Amino acid sequence: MIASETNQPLVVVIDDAPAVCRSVSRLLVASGYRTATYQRPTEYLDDAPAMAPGCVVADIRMPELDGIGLAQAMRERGIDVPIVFMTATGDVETVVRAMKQNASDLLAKPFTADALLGAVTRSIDLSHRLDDEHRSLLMLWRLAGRLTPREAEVCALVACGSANKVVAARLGTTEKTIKVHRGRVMSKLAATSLAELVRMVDRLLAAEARTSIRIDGMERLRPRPVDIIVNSTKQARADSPVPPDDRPSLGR
Amino acid sequence: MSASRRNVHDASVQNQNTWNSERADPELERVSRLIVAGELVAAVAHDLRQPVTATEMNVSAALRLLSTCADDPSSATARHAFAETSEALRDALLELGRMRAALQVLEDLVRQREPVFVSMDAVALVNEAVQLVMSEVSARHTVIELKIPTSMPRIVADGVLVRQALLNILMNALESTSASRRPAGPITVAMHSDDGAGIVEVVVTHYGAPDEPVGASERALALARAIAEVHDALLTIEGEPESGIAIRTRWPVRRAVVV
Repeated sequence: MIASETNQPLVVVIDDAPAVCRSVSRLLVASGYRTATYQRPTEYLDDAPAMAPGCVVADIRMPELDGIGLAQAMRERGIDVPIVFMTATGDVETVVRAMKQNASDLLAKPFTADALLGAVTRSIDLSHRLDDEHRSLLMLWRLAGRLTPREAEVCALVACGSANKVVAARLGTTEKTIKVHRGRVMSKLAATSLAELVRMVDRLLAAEARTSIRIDGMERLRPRPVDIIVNSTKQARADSPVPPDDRPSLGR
Repeated sequence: MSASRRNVHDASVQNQNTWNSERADPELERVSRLIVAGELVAAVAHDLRQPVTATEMNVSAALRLLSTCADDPSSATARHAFAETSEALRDALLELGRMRAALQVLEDLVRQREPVFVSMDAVALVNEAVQLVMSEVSARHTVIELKIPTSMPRIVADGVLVRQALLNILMNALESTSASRRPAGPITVAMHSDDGAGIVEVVVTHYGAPDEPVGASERALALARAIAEVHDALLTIEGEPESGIAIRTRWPVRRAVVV
């Protein structure tokens, strides 16, 4: 790996052709980016946990592990970085495979300097948006992580629109106890209204497939109360489906 | 002129006569060349895309670097930019050389000309032919294993023709392997020399379908055979798909005339 040093966004360039790797890196550095270059995707995967690039620019056709395989491996490892693919073939099958891996952009060789810089700029913007989303979700996980298992259940049922009495019956306790739990849920989640609580739960559900978040090179696991909220909400909605418009998410 | 020199001359004349008789139907021979060239255009185009990309990046980087030097050409930043610009332009020049070589390959394949017999490095010829099909190998998700010694006796041959014959054989092996319905094993390229008989043997082994390929690739193999005969070389095909089909060419070293 060869890295250049400034405080600009980092772009990882991966291509088994040394001339392409070097020249793409040279253009990016001349345009104000930092770069790290690799001729073997596996070497980048080894280094990736300690890196926070703005985007990855990778060739699709490489020996050992191709660009598509690299994207799969990154996703499996929770490395959520936009990828700009480069390809010298440009056939339909390759384009489809790349797009299925959520390619941020696809550049057919030979491409122009403007095309590369445009793709990198867009990918880094996307990376910033992803980073903001991840930080926001992590903050929500931290708040939800403070709930007890019972409070997490109450949170889910209340967010589904169940009245305190219904929640109490479902959990086999009294309405008064549920009121106390509900108050604690609102307080711990810093939710100022039921509508805000519903939005929070919806946000957790939207990210239910994500079990960890990597930020600043560190991986944070999803806390257990979030699992309970997600599962209880899904269960409650399955038991008594309520049309989305009728849920108490008023003011959304 | 020494005896060995005369031998070279005589052998060349004989070979050229053979070549002329082989060209009873020059149009067919030219069409065969074009077919092979057509098959390789995709590979050469791929080989051109890489240096064109690298050149575009290098020249664009050089222009950007030079624009940073305009304000204060004597500053440390400018000196670094000048040095980096030089590197970028040197790399661009190297890439232009690669493009020129790729175009030369295409030109050699389609051009009609008389054979020219000179002392050639057989290992280099085989490596060049393998290099030319590598992008095709990768596209077909195949693997080529090389079993080539670092040095072999030189052969007296027309390098362009021999390289074309080897290309044809490799393309034939690739086509067969792709057409096979069984899990394809690697294509192996091995070289041996028999000092006693003065032979350099190139063996391309594949596990392709026995009846494939047909059409263009079959004609490519026929052309390879014709080129081998011009060189007094022998091309044989033996074996079964299970154990590997070996396309064997034996090129005379003509040790007495090696320069």
